[in-house]
Amino acid sequence: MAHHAHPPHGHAGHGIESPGAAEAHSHAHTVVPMRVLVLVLMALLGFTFLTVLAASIEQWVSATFDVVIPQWVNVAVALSIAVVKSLLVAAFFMALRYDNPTNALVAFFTVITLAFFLGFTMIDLGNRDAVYAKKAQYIADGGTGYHAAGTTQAQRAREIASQESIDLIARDQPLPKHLAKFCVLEIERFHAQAKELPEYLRTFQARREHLGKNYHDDGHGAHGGHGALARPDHATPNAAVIRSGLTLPELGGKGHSDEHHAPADHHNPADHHTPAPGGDTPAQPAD
Amino acid sequence: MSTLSMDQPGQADGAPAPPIHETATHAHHFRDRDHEFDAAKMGVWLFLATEVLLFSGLFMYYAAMRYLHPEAFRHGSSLLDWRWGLINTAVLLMSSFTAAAAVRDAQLGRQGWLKLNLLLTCLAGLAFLVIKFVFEYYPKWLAGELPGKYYTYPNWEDPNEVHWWGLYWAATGVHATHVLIGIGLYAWMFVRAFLGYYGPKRYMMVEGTALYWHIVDIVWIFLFPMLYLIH
Repeated sequence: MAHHAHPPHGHAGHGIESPGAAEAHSHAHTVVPMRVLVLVLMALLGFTFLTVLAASIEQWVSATFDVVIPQWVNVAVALSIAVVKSLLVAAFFMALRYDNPTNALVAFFTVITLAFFLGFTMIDLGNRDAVYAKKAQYIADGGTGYHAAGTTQAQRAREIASQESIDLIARDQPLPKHLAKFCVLEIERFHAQAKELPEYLRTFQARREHLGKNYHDDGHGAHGGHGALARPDHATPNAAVIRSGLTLPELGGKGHSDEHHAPADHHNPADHHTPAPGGDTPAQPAD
Repeated sequence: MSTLSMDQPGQADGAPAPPIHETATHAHHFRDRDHEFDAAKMGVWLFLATEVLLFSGLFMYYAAMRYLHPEAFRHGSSLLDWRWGLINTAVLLMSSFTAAAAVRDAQLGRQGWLKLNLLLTCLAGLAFLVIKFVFEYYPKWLAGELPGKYYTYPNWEDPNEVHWWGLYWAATGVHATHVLIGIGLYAWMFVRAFLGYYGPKRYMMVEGTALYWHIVDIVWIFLFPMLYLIH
């Protein structure tokens, strides 16, 4: 803070590059040359086109030569260009290059704080698998379950989808698009392995052939705008699903009186509208 | 000899009053105008630090959700049109240029250019918002690509795409709110420039608002590739 060492008065008559003689000695009053501002604007626009170009080239290469480019390449290129652009803005438009270094220090520590915040959270996320394997016995229904011991995300998603399909087919309900797609893929998978289809897939296949291709066209077609079925209830915030999350099982039961309902009832908003087959009263989770 | 009035110090014999930026002095608790300027500017920088931390929560949400649901984010991202993002990026970059030029004009006392650059910055901010609302927000609203319980878009491909739209609306919404505040500040400064508020000795508001505008620009510099280009 060299400029504070100057006497507070009597500093008129300094250089002409600064605005106002009374403030002529300060770092904080440098006038950034117009040539620099124009060059920086040109560079920023150039980098903007470059980042779009890089993303397009990458997609083109990936599609034309049928290669899988790992996603980190995409992320690294896009964010590196963004960092360069930000440094240009900070250094010249925000004049940190010419300014009192205290302000640059504030900016620097802001970036450091940001790096800690992002870095440690990602370290946490990236190592969840190691933790969940030890805590698996505590994962109650309602959590994502993606990281439960011995279960991959794909296996878990398949279990959820097949259970939902079974429930809906058993109640003669139309399948939403994602479940219909899932069933078709499952049928192909079983055929490819020359295995016999499970009961619900046989039912689905037969019904699909009977009704035609529009079978799964929920929400718009003959099955009439049933919004809830158009969305997956296990991921939709508005579904009346009790989500106990990563809690002890005995804590998850609080808030609903019926302790005997099946887990599928948690997941299915359709259960609020349709009685289950066999005359049983479907369990209603209390709100 | 001139006679001085107690009520209007500095105005003598019907001479026009000097503009405000000529007569303003520093507050009594500062040593001099420089001291006041440096303190105010550092205050702006500390405020900008809190702004970055505000947006860092959204960046964090993006990183975590992209990590957990890559397919949902890939498909959600493919539903955005990068061309509007590119146009809006160019608009914001040019407005940052005019904001920096406005600071320069105030420092050099070029009143006409100062007013022009303040107006151009304000209009560029408005253009950003108009493009955003007309070509992005409104069609997405109609398509049901909305966050949380308002998400009714039927053609999703991954059940977690609602998270993508939550991020999209939160991040661009908070950013658009900042742009709106910046537009208000630039409109206000445009009016005050006509009243003679800004000149070589008094331009802290022009510079402070420009710093704020640049940080809003930097946030968009990151949001643009994150939302539109990473696939």
